Amino acid sequence: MKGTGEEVVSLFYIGTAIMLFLAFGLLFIVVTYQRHFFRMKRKEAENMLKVSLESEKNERARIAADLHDGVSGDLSAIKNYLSVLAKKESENKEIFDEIREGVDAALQNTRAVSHNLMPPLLETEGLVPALKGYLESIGAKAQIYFEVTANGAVALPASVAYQLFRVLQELTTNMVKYGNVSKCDINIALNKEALTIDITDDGTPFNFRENLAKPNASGLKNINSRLHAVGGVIVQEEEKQVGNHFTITLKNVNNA
Amino acid sequence: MNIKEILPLIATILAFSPLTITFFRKTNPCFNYEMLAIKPYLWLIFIGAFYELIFTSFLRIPSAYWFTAYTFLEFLALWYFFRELLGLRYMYFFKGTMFIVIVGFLIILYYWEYNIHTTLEAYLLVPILLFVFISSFIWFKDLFNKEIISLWIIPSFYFISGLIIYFSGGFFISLLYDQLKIITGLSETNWLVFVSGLIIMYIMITIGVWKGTEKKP
Repeated sequence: MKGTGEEVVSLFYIGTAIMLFLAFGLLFIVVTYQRHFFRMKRKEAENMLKVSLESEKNERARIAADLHDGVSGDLSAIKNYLSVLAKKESENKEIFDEIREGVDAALQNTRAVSHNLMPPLLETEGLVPALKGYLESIGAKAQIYFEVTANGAVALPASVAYQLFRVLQELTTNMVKYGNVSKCDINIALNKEALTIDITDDGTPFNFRENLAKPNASGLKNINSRLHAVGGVIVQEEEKQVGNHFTITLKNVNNA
Repeated sequence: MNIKEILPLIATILAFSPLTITFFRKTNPCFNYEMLAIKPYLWLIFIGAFYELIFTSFLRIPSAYWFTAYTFLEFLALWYFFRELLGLRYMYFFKGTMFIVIVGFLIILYYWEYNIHTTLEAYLLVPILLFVFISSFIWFKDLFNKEIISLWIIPSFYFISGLIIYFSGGFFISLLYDQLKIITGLSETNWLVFVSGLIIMYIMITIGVWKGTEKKP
């Protein structure tokens, strides 16, 4: 009887152990496989995002170059012809002057659009001068004092500099549109392989995370995607009564 | 109170929690159909716990009939859960399982005796266990063909994991309960394995229900 009892108990323990082993084994395999699959898909999505952002950058550069070399060149030529004609046709001088002003305005707008699409300084001088030039221009129009400081020459790979420029452009555009900002400080610090950008303003406080979750927050989502593509993150420092403080951090800048 | 009393009490208390959560939180629209699918099972474990607490623990009424009925009702609730979850594509599988279990249940009723009811229920547990395992496997397979989202946010993942652990852990004790009782007299000690599985399942279902609901406005 004792032997039979031991056999039943052994059968119970071994059977239960095998069943539990199978159950946990199945769950372990599923979780591991799903995690692997999830990572693979995320990597794929990241690569697609990088390719799409790179294509967008190239397309912007091409349109900017076309506008600058094509349309601007043609408008300049028209302007010159008008000057020559105005000298010959003294009777219609006023009409010529008006046409010339119109062509001047079109030329300036074309240059502005071209610069906005791809700031020429970004490729030649880098992020900090391009940013200073851009903020000087919008600051004057929006009556906001932008101060950009950097610890020496911030040499970044072109793709990283471009994405950061777009991120900062989006943030500062938001300040102009909704922020009620009068002063904004941007501090860029590159230490060894990590880059930190501190953005502080004195405008209306807003919660980045909460706004990001809203369906119409395409600009903020854009910021996140661009930063994600270069391996960066944006963190909002503690919310204050007045103003906002964001920190953008990029580790392994040169490998981004 | 010793462990043989504490564990079943914990299990009974935990059995109330999943359904109770649904009274205080609203269903997340993203997981609406999963939450609707599990509702009958939540009601069953709630009623089961209530029955055990009142009739078995306090009034000391023998619950053999209830256990047999519960096994079948549990199958019906899980059958509904998986059918809603997996859709109409596997209708033959669902119809076949339903037929087998109903036939098995009728046979059990025919041979039903108080002394052997646990063993008879264990026989019924074999097709139910297979049904849960196969349905879970199909669910995992289908999940990988869909858009990839993290498993940890899907309520059904918790429900299914809990069910797999519970049925796996409880199968052999149900099958050998009568032998263990007669031969070794250790059935109550070994029964704790079953109760532990039950506790894990209730915790998993509670987590799943919590994930599938959100704070009421």
